Amino acid sequence: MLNHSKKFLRTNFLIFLVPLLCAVDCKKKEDVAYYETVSMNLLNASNSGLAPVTAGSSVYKHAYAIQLNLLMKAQMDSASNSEFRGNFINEDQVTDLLITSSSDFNGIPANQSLNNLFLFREGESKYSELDPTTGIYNRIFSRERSDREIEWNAESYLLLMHPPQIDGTYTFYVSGTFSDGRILSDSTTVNLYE
Amino acid sequence: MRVLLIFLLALVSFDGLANEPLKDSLPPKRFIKQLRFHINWMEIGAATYFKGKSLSGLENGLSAYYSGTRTNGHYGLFGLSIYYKEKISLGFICFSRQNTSNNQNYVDYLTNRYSNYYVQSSQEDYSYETTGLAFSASYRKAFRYFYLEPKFRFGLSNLSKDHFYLWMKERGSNQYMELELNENHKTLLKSYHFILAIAHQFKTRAPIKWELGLQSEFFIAPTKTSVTLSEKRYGADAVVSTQNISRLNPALAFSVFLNWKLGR
Repeated sequence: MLNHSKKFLRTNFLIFLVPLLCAVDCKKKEDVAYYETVSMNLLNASNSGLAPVTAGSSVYKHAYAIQLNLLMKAQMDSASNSEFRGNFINEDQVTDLLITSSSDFNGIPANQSLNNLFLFREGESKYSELDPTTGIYNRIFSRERSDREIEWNAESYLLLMHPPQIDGTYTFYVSGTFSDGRILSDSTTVNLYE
Repeated sequence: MRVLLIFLLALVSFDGLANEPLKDSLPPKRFIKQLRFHINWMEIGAATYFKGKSLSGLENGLSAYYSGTRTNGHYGLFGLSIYYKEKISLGFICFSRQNTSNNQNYVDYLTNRYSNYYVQSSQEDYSYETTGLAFSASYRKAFRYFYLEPKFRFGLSNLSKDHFYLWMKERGSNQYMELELNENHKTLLKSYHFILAIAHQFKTRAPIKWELGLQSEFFIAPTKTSVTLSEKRYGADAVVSTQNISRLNPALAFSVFLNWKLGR
C-alpha cells in the first residue's frame, strides 16, 4: 500500500507544481503621464432628484448644490498622446479648499469657511465630508479622462447639507489652492427658498 | 448521531460480516492488509436551501431578506478515506458551498417602507462562501463494478458573509440615510450531511481504480444569528435594533464525484 502511495505522489507531482508556477506574478510596471486642472467655473445645481442637475438662479434650499465645472489638460503633445498607454495622474496636489459666502450664513460671518456645511458627492451613493486628511481635495479637483482627449471637462458637486435659516440671495465663493502656487476660484449667486 | 450508528451497524450485520473473524483476533499484518486508501478527488454539484417556516414572521423585513438566500455550487475536494475490507470507511474532505443572496425582495420591502427615499442597491445579487472540513463515516455495498454507499458527514465550516449596506437618498433634498445589516454568529458552523452515493469502478493497468458516481445529499447547517440593523441619517445618531434568529437551513444537494482507489 505504501508503494502505491509513493507511486501516486511521484506521478501526480506535476499536478501540484503547475498551479504554483502559474501563481508567479509577472506584472509589468506601467508608464505614467501628467495632467493639470487649468480652470474652474461655478454653477448652481439642484439635487432634488437622484442626481444633481444644473439649475438656474433660484433653487430649493434643501436641495442646493454648487457645481464645479473643471477643465483638465494633458501635459503632452498630440503625437505622444496617441501612442501613450499608461496611467494619467494630476501633476499638482490640492493643498487647500475654501468655501465662503459674501454675507453671514447661519451665524457664520461673511468670508469665513463654510466647509463644514457642505459634503462632496463622490458617487451615486457616497457623500464625503471635506476633511483634508482624507485627500478629498485632490478627488474634487482631479478626474481622469474617459477617452484619449488632450483636454477634457468634468463636474464635481458640493452639497449644502445645512440650508440657510433665512431665505434669500447668497453668493458663494470656492477657491482651490494647488501645490504649484496656483489658485483657482470662482463664485456663484443663488436665491435659496423654502 | 445515534440513529446513524445503529443504521451503519445494521448494514454491517446484514452483509454477513459476522462470518468473518473478529477484528481483535486478526493478526496485525492481516488487519493492515485489509485497509485501502481512497482519494476523494472531487465532488461537483449544486444545492438548494428549503425556505422553511422559520422565515415567516420575522420583523423589519428580515423574512424578505432571508427569502432570497440560495446555494449554487456545492463542491468537495482533496478528501481522503480509509476503507476496511472495502466496506466500512472513515475519512475527511474539504468542502465549499457558493451561496447567493438575492436581496431584491428586501430592497422592495425597503422601497415601500421608505417611500420618501431613492433606494439604490449595489448588492442585489452577491455571493458568499462557506468553506470547511467534513469528517465522514460510511458503509459500502458492492454489486460487481457498481456500489451503493450511504454516508454521514459532520462538517465544520467558516461562513464569510459581508454585511448588507444600503445608501438611500431622500427625495427633494440633499439628505440621505445609511442602512446596515450585520449578521453575527459563531465563527465555526456545524453541519450534518446524510448522503447516498452510487458509483461505478473502472479498473486500469495502473494500481489505481477510478470511481465515478452520483450522490444525493440532505444536510442541515443550524445557525443562531444575532441580526443588528442600523439606520443612520446625516448628522444624527444611528438607530440600532437587534433580533435573534435560529434557523436549521435544511438543503438538498446533488453531485457528481470522482474517486481514486489506491491498490488493487
